[in-house]
Formats: sequence, structure tokens, C-alpha cells
Amino acid sequence: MAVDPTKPRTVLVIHGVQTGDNADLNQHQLIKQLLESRLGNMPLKFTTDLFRYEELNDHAQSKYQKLVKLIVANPAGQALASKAIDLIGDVVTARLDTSTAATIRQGFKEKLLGIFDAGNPCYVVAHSLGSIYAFDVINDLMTETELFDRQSRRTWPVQGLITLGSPIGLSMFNKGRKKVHSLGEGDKMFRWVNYWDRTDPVVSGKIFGQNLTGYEIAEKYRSPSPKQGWVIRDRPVDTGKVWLLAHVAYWDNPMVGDGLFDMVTN
Amino acid sequence: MCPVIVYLIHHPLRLNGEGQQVCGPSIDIFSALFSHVTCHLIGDRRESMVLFLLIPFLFLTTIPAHSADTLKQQASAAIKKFFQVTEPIAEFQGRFVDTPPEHGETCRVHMDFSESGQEYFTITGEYTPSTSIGEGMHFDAPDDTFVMVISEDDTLILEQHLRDNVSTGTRTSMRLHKQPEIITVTIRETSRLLFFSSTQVKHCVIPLE
Repeated sequence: MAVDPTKPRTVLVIHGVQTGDNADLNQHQLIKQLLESRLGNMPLKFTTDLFRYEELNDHAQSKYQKLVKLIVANPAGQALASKAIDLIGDVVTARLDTSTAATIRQGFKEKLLGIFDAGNPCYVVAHSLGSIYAFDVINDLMTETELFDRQSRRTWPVQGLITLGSPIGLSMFNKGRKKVHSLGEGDKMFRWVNYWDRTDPVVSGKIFGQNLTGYEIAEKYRSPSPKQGWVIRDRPVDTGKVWLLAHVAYWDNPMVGDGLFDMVTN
Repeated sequence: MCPVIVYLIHHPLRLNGEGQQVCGPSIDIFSALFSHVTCHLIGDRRESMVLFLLIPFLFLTTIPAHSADTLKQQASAAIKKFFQVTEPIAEFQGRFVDTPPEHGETCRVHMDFSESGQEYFTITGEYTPSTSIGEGMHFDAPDDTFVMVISEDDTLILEQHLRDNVSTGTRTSMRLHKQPEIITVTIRETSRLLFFSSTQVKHCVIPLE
């Protein structure tokens, strides 16, 4: 198994909080459009794909959905509450130490290894809660002896990670996740770029989505040790939306597109 | 000259070095500053009247700034004493009981006091991701996140609040209870994000050799 750099790149999207079920998910199409818009006439072969797990999460949330339906008597309010739960509820209700979460992680890992087996260079774009799953799975893959040799990117099932609206800066996620897996000696660097809108409440946890400045999210994981082997950057973006709308507005943001373009072409 | 009022208030949950409850003073900085500023705003001549009115008000509205540094230290000392361990790193294998089956059957209690400022006392299960050191007490957090340490005979209760801001954070309480042949570690963790909140309770039973 080795990555063949002449093969088309694969951008694998792992979604996060989302309304609807698996049939409604099309973020990989949005990422395809975004990357095409940044490539212009550059002849780069790539495909996009999506790892879906929403139905598993919906199942885990069903008891909360029922509870809200009991509480909210007004039909309009009921619909709003249900959507709100779908949107951000799974960030807090989807426990990451459960069999459901383990199934999601295992499925994502198998998806990545399938792309690796085919030899395609793979780049992960992870949104919201999906960024936590991506963080866990990529770091887990780095512990496997045959993978992520720091001297050769051909052994890397994931060439780079882009996170969008990640809640990894919140204590509920980062209190147990203290550091990234160090790649050891070598000169190749694993790249992680984290994009966040300053008013995105899922990033900040602030209920009114107040504007944030100087907020360290992914960069908390930077280490001065040269053996870490990661390049980690936080990139604030202005999606032009506010509050929860900002959380789902990354998919067509030009800065995100430029960052993805830079990652897959370098 | 305006005085700076310092209130000494008693907090019932502080412990001495032996793990027993004691009462101790803590300084209410908020009250002191409020009084000082108000005094400047209104003027010295009315100082005594203002203070007379403020004192009952401040007693009712004080926000105590506990000397939580000692709570954090006491928490780590109480954990080591409870398990009677001298090594900086220890691990105990157990089983979940009265715990949702989605967390699995087996649990592990981890204690790592090897690296100053990075200590932790946590529980993991078979589905905890490999990147996570688990849920529990994290001693790399600020001192004032430790809000409770109660040690009584065979029971130890710890509580830590990690606040991202007013609407988001986690509250973790752990209750350790020692019986003749087992130790039961109960962890209750409430996570809040915006207007959502989720609580989970897990009981890990460790057999004693």
C-alpha cells in the first residue's frame, strides 16, 4: 500500500451537525464546486467524497427529539426546536465514548484506508463535530507502525486536514485531548488548518455568538518540539453570516477554497 | 481616604491536610473593589452612610473568591491517599454497573501524577477514543476550577467545573466509595453548549485484590 501522487486527489468530507438525514447531505458537491472555482483552468484531477453518519447520530438523539416535542407545544416552535437539535444538538449529545461514536470512527477509518489502498492522495475536510471524529481517527492512524512514516508521504493515508467550525476549542472536547500524535524524526510535515468564523457559536460556545478575537483553537496543539511534525494554523474567516448561520456557511467561502487549493496542490 | 473592605467569609467545604472538613477564610475581592469604587464616586463625607447601607447588601450579594489553589492540591492528595498509592502512575481495571450499555462493559481508572501541572485522574471505557485520556479530574486546568473536595472515612467526593463562558462548559463530579472488596467510582458529567445540556452518569466498580 502506498500513495501514488500521479493519481487523482480525493477530498473526503466528514460532516458535522446537519439538518435532515443522509439523503440531504451534499457537502462534497459544495466542496467540489468551491475547489473548481479556485483552480480556474489549472488541470488538476480530483474527486470529492462524503463520509455519512447522520442516521447513526439521529438515532442517538431520538430521545432528545421526543423530549423537545413534549416540551414545545406550539407546532411552529416544535419545528424550530427540532431543527435546532439537529443543528447543534449532536455536538453536545453525541458522546464520543459510546459504541455509536466508535462505529462512526471505525467507518471513517475504513473509508480512509480504502482510499489509501487505491493509492489516491487523500485530504480530509471536516466540519463541526466531524472535526472531532477526524482528529481522533487521524491521530489513531498515526500510531500504526506501517503508516505515517515522516520521511515519506506515500505512507500517509491522509495528506492534510482542514477543519471548519470546529468545537475542539471547547473544554468538553479538549480537556481529554491534550496533544496530537508526534510523527517523530523527519522533514515532512502534516498540515492542519482550522477555519472559524468569529461569530460561530459552536466554535466559541457563546450563546449570542459574540465576536471573538485572538482565540486559539487548533493552535493550542502546537508544540515547540521538532519531532511533532505538524503544521497547525487557525484561520479566522468572515462568512458574512452570523450566529448559527455562520456555522453552516463555510462551504462556499473563498478563503476556505484558497486554503484547500493550497493544500491539495502543494 | 476610602477604605478597602475585605470580607472574610467561611466556606464549609475546605479540607485540611488530613482530608477533614475545616472552615477557613477567603477574600472577597469583588466586594472590596465595589465598595472602594462606590466610595470614590459618592464622596468621603457620606462614606459612613454608604458603608452602612452597603454592608448588608454586599453580604447578600458577595461572590466568594475561594482559595481554590489548596482545593486542587488537596484533591490530588486525597486521591492518592484514597487509593493508597505511592507511585506517580497507577491504573485500575473495573466493570461498569448501572451504566448505559452504549459505554461498554469494562472501565479503567487512570491516575497520573508524574508530570507537574499535567496530572489527571480519569475513567475510560472500551469505546473511549485512543486520543482521549478520559473523563474526570484534570489538574492542568486553573486552580479555581476545583470547587469541591470532601473526604469522609471511605468516601471521597471531587468536583471540577470547566467553564468556557457563561453558556458553555462542563461540570464533573466524582464520588469514590470504598467497601471491603470493591471500590466504586461514580462519575457524573454535565456538558453544556449554548442552550443544550447533556448529563451522563457512569459507575465503575473496581475489585480489590
